[in-house]
Amino acid sequence: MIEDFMITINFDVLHDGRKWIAKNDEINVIGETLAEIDEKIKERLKEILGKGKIKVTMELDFRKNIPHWIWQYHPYYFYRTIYIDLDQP
Amino acid sequence: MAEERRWYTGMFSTEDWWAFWLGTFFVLLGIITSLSGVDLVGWIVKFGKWVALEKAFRASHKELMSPIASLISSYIILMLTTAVGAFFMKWDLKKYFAAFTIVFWLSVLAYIIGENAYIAATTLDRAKYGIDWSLSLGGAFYIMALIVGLIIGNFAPKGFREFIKLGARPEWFIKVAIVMLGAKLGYLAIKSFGYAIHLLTAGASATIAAYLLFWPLAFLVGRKLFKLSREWAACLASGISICGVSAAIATAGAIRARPIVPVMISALIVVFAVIELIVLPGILAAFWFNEPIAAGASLGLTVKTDGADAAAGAILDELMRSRAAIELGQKWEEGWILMSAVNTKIWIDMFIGVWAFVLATIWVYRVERRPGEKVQKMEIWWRFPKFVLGYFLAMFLLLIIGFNLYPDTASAYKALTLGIKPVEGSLRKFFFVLTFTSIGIVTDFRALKQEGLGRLTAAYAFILAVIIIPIGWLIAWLFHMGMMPPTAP
Repeated sequence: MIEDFMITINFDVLHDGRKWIAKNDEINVIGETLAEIDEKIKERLKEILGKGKIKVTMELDFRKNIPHWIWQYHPYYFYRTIYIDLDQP
Repeated sequence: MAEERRWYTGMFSTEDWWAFWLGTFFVLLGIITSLSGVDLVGWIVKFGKWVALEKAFRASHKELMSPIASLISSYIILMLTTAVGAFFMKWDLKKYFAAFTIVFWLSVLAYIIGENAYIAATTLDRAKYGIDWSLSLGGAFYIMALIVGLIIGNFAPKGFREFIKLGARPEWFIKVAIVMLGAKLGYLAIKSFGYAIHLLTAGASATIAAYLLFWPLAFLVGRKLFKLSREWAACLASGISICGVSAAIATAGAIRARPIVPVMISALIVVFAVIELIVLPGILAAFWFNEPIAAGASLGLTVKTDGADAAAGAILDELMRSRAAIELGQKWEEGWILMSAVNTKIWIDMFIGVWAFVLATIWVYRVERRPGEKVQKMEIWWRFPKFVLGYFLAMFLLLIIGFNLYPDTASAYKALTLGIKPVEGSLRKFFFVLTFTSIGIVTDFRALKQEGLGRLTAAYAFILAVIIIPIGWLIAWLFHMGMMPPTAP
């Protein structure tokens, strides 16, 4: 049940031209694909929290990845929500 | 700092929302003026055809102030109101002030030159201006503004180009103008209600064409004929089929594409939209004069940015009305052809959130199958174009007031004219001119020479010429055939 995921952790996402980067004040992970990012976040959360059910949100940092002239056409890029169950292998 | 996204996120930090706020603000000024008699909109500068320069512009309510005072007031008020938006969007205000000032005065210059009677007057107008020849170029001021912008966008030093882009915001300006156009639709609908509703609902045809015909065909051609990857083909298909840059970004976000993909496609979309803006109105006015509303609607289906579509609609409106005046001796009401162009586009714009949600669902659950990721229904709201809310709000406000506060439609129309006319007429047109100048400034044809864009450019040109334009014309004709603009008294 989604309601069980009580803790929410938010990340900013960037793409540097080659790799995806997800970061917040405590965690910074890099990966070639978003799936790799998701996996690395799960590993880091396991190290930090051990167990639990976590809701992870990721919003691409629009202003750092998209040129200024494009901002006026659309307000944001993506906002991902991932439910991670650290108790699952 | 990363934050959780809420339903109200962006309400004061995006140009889309600020188009809603500013457009609604000006429409409300017009409504208050009409209802109370306190003149809050008479300062708006109104440009017109001229032979003597002192007649080139004046205050909308000329008894309120002198022409020069009106022009300066318009500059100050537009500067300050847009700067409020710029402030909340955390732009560099000093640079915005400077850049907007240049864009404003260049637009004024283009407007004045383009409205010279020797350029703009029709054969029927010549006697009024005491001239014996004229080029009869209706809407020349739009083209003039575009040319000025294109010269800067393509030939000015790079540093200056980048600086002036801070004040050249075509999508923002046109979205503000479209909210005012909603007021115009409501205002005109008071006396032509059935016709306005017919036009509005016929615009729904656009969604059928854009989402169910254009997109699958464009995606298929991109994949099979031009061998584009799924990522590139999906973003290109959305950009060329739906609503241009906005759709390319929304799709890229939905399918979690790398940001470089929509950025490169956006550069193409903007350039092709300007080419269409220059070419299509002339072709349509020349060869589809018997179906002016269908011709307008076809622009909403084929020109892929709001700015270029509305701009092309405005030119077509001028060209068609000039031709009707000269050849038929009829004075068609200003704005209906433009509104048909904008209506179809707005229908397309409205569903981009739904489409992005559908694509995200397919991509996340079927194509890439990332474990744990959930697509949120809020995606539909976050991507919904908020200026459209302003368009409909303005329209319904005018209709509710017009049908409920006055004894009959004729007196409602007359009473609302005082406040609404300067907003939906003079101010909206000036925002259009600002849009034209800005479109020129942000359009850099050198984008077509970017490395790696060759195959994409070929795909875009092919799909546009072979799929989008022919089918767009057909769909527009099927849903709007026989509709003619009401004639002005």
